[in-house]
Amino acid sequence: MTSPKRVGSIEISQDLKFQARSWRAQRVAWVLMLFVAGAALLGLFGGGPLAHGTAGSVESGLRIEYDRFTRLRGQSRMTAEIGASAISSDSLVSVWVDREWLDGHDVLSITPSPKESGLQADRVVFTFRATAGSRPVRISFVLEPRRFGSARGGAGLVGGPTRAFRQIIYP
Amino acid sequence: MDSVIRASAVYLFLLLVFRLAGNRSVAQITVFDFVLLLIISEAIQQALITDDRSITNAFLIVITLVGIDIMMSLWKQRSRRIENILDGLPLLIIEDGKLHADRMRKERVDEDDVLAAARHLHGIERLDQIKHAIVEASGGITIVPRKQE
Repeated sequence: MTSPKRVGSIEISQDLKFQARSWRAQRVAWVLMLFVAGAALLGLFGGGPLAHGTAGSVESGLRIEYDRFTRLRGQSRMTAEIGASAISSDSLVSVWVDREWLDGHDVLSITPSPKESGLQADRVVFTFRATAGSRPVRISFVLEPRRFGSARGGAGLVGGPTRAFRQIIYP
Repeated sequence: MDSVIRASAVYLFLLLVFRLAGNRSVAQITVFDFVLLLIISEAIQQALITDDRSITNAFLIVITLVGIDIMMSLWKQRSRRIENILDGLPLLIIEDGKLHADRMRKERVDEDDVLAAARHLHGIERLDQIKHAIVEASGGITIVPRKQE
């Protein structure tokens, strides 16, 4: 502590310059806290309007919905929406997911369950049964991130369009 | 390794937030403040422990928190500047009977707080019976009464 000085009749470690600086720092911090809360409401830390990203469109065959901002050990979701035209004549559709990206997650569930899954170089391929109709089919992956930081993901249809996306995973 | 990093991050984060919130936010705890502290501890506990409920994890977290606390106290002992930054300094809000309204506003203290402390500590009835009032580094208010003639 600042060594006590005599102020009038009292000995006290008062330092008005330091006090002014500390008040200023406090006010700046309060504004910052407000901004952080505001950013969190918008979804900058996951789970809000800014947190959801999409890549591609159903018209072009494949639309990926992903969490742009998510958190370590939280729940994250990736949804692939596949246009009916992409379903093969034998009622199968094959979706691949970037293997390195998938390695950074625990897969909690895939809906619907894939008929089979396999490896293809740096991709994991999931094959689903699907009947071609007028509406696109949706496949949901519920994931739990295991690594934090920036992650580059990718998914696509085997022999079809490819979608790349970027995620920020907070610790 | 994870437990030590988590505990250190939580310690430093809480230190920063509570210091920047100002002493008045945590001193003179009301019932609601007490409830707030319980909620904060509950929120932090989840992040500290995650899904590892082992006794090893609990021990590591406790050792890390206490260890950092000891290190901080040693650091404060060596450096006055660090002590000022971490603990804050006392501030005269009534100096020889003169009220420093600007200081009181910035410290979020009003005359009622000063009178409450004066009543509580010395049974003082009026503001003019107070010689000095100090907001201590801990956030509490100390009163030096005027000597009775």
